[in-house]
Amino acid sequence: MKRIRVLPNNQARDPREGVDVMLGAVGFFGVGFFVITVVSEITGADALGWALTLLAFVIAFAGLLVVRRRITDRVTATRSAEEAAGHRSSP
Amino acid sequence: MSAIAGPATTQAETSALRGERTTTAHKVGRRKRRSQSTRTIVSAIVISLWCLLPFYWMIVTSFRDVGYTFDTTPWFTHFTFDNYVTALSTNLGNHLGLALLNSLIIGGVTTVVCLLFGIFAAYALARLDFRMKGIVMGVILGASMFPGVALLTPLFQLFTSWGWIGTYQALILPDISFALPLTVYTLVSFFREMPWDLEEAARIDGCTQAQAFRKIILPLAAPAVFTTAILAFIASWNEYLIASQLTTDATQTVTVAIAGFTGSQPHQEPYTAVMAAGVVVTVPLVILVLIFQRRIVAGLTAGGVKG
Repeated sequence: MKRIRVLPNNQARDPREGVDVMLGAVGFFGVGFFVITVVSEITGADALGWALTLLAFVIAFAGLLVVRRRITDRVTATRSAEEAAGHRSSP
Repeated sequence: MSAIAGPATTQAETSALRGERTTTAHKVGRRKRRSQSTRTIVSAIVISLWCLLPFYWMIVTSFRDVGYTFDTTPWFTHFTFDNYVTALSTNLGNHLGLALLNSLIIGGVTTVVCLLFGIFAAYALARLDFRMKGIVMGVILGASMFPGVALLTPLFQLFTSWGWIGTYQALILPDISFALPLTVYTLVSFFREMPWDLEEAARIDGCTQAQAFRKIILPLAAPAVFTTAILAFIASWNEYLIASQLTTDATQTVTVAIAGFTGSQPHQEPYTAVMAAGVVVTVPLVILVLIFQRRIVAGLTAGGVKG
């Protein structure tokens, strides 16, 4: 079993954490609206409003995923630049 | 000579000018600080009055004779204790004492369960590194934002089919779901600010991670735990919506009991007795805060770590 790592004392907070929190909240409501839409469709109730709301949440979720990917790319680029600078300065 | 005296005079003039500027800067700074503190004091007074005035009005009305219920005199007039007698007596079908006991049981159990799960969850979210941690936090945030009224009908149907209507667990379970996100979020922010060097020192001294948590972190987190406990208890104590639908006379909470207060005359709204009951209901919360006031000291860990 993989052992869960304890965060080191001086570790800076992950810059993606804020986006992750928003992803979780939007995803939570997205799942809720998905269930409501499916149940409305199956039972023959009017599902248009629920479906449109679900669409809005899906778009928001996708937008947040794009933002997260951009942050990840930026962090990776910064890290590799720092590593390269470190290699150059070392004798 | 004049060539030497010239720069010396200029230097003296410059230093005098500098000194004047420093004095002016000091004066401006002092004036700014004074105006800031005045603004803070005025804001604090306005906020305190804003929060305390309704409570003051409740106390004044609770001690006023029924015949003068709508008297707008802002201080105590026509003083009487009758409203408290009416509120606490069971002759008119009001059961405030029983409702207080029910609220205490429901609030107490909710608080204990929330703390039990909330402390471990918050520690893991603040300290451990695992995948999708942020998303778990987001789901907790989403659950806390969920409107309670949307849960009312499903809960009623579910608890009816389980035969839980009029039982304590029918209120404890939804209350936990509302108070647990609050508990987790409050404790996560506290655990994050905690000096982890203490835990590391405990680990170096031979403690396991669980022992370090139990012997070092938990005692240090006591102020946050007590603050969170009070918040969770108040959230459960003030809950009305779910309690109004899922309780019977035997298990009704104080909020429901007060809402259903009846007067001595038919169609009479007993405002003064309701105000008296409101005061009685607020007293346990005030006592709770006063008891744990010493524990709720911010910055208990300040000075624990140097450097």
